[in-house]
Amino acid sequence: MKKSLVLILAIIIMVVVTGCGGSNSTVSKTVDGVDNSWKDAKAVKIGVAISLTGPNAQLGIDTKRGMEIALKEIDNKINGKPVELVIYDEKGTPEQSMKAIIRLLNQDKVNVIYGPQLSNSIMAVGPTVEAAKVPLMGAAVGAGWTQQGWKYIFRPVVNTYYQGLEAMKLFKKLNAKKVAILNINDEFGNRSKQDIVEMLQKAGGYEIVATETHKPGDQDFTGQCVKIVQSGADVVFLAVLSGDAGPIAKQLRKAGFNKPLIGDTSWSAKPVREIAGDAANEVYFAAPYVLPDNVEDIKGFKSPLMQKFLTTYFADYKEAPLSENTYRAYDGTKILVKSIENAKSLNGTKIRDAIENINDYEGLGGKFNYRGANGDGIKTANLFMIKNGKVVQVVD
Amino acid sequence: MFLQLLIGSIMLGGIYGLLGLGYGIIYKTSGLMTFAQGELLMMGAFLGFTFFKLLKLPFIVALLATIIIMFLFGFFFEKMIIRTILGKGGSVIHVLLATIGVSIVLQNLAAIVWTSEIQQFPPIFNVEYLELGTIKVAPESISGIVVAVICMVLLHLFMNFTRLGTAMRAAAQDSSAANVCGINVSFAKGLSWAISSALAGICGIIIGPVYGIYMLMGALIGTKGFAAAVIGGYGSMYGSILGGMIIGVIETMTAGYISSSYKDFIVFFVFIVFLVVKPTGIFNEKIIES
Repeated sequence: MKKSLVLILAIIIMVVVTGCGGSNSTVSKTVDGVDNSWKDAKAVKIGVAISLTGPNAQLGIDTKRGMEIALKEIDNKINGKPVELVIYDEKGTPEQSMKAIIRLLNQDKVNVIYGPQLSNSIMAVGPTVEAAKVPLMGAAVGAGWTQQGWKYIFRPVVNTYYQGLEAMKLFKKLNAKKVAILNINDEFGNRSKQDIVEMLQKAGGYEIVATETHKPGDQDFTGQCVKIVQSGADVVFLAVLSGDAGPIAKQLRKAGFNKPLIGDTSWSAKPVREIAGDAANEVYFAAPYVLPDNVEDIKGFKSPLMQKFLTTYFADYKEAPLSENTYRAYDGTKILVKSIENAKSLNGTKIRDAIENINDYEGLGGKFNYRGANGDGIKTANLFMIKNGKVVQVVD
Repeated sequence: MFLQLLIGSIMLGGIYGLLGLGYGIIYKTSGLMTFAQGELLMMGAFLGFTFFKLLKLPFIVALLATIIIMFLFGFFFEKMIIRTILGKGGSVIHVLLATIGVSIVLQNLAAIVWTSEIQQFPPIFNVEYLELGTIKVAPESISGIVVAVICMVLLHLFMNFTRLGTAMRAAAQDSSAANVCGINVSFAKGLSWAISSALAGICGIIIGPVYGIYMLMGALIGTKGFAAAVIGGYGSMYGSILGGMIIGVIETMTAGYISSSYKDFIVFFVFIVFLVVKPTGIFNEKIIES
């Protein structure tokens, strides 16, 4: 009885999913460069599945703001057709993301999707989105989900692997030969550690003097920190989550480690630096961009595009962005809009092809080029360090 | 490395010991158990954070204000919740369940008032570490042990050499007899909950600057404080400080010499071994029969 129920459910889901895919993949006839899918539609529908409540709410709220600024710049219209955002809260979980994506695909019949917020959620919804042939711009940085061979899934930000490659420049610049690694014992931490160990071994001339891990939820890192100090390391590479980064830096300094630390993009967020306090000085990291602490900081950004974005952000929301997810969302939305413009169609496959033809597009994160890039349109980052609690760019 | 690990573990040991002390005092005077110590620690940290960082009061004022509020909280917690449960015929188990309920309420209350994000508690000391010869010692480690010892000595003097302390011990041994002798048993029991709550608050302020403060910061620490009390001898004041130190050292040494993945495993393994082999703990504390 149970088995047959499961079977019936599976058939229903398959019919619903593939049915939707079918309607999107129908090849429509082109008249004057514009096809029927474009002519028949009243609006361009952008589906959004982001984390608006729960512990990752800040990421989702900043994502929404980035998208709003991007759409405001084009007056909410693509080639004269209004843009409609359909937003669902996926609460930062794979289950809720799956529900949101199925609803966006089957009920709302959106043309493109932005989200979900986190890498494991994108991993979960990937196969469904692929089957539906609707282009998706994922919001997260975990390297894994653009290595699945998926054709309709793209990323508007540099992933952790390429951030690691940029971080390699720091080891050289700091003349650090003895490297200690401290990572969180989870998918992200172990992956980052494995990548950096491989990169260091390939580069040659480095000695890994300590590899320490910590469990999610740990508060005391005394044992690991003392071991790192005793190992005589010149630098510590940290692959830890933003909530742990501050306390770890602090406890490393308290154990007597006063040499540089190499972290990741989470150090550009003011709360992380605040928790670390003075311990944040001499923390280096590779990131596509950083966040301003206040409106005066805008002047410090070199890119005019970034200055314009931040000026609008402060004017519209009366505060500094708390997560660089807002930059990703802006770039991602602009790339989706440009691709729809170029495709002159709302057919998923045509929009997908248009995204893959995006070349030398200048965004907040740098120059995007999706040609033959497996969805990763950008592979470079900048180097930063923290000096007196402030983030400054390192010139290499 | 051994010596630096040992010194590094002192602060942690002192904190576990102070929490254990709180469990012990409550048990000694009322024969009851609580599981809310960890969350009281979190409350203390957030109160200290509010007074010191948000209201910009001098540290000593913030500390005293936190201790007073936590003390009163403990007192009224006993009066309004524990007393009511016992008054309606509730047993030790009901009290225990109530403290678990209160701890969950406190966690969520903290998330509502101070958000669920990790908050920064400004450093109390100006230097990250002091150099003693070749060894580097965090000032928090020194303050951890100093505060633990001061609290232990003060409590010892209070319990053994003051009328109120004697009254509290009498109330624990035989509350009806103590009542007949004119001892205000109700006040004495309230006092034990108040002292234990204040101790947890002090712990929160000591570790706040090192660990950062957030709603779940007390969950695991509270459990380890409980283990400290058991290892030392549940109800023994010296025992809980010693138990705390033992757990702190085991934990840090495991992370330093073996792997941090095993530290909680080994700590709680030792805890179980003690329960099975010597339930009365190092200080051979007898369980109160009620």
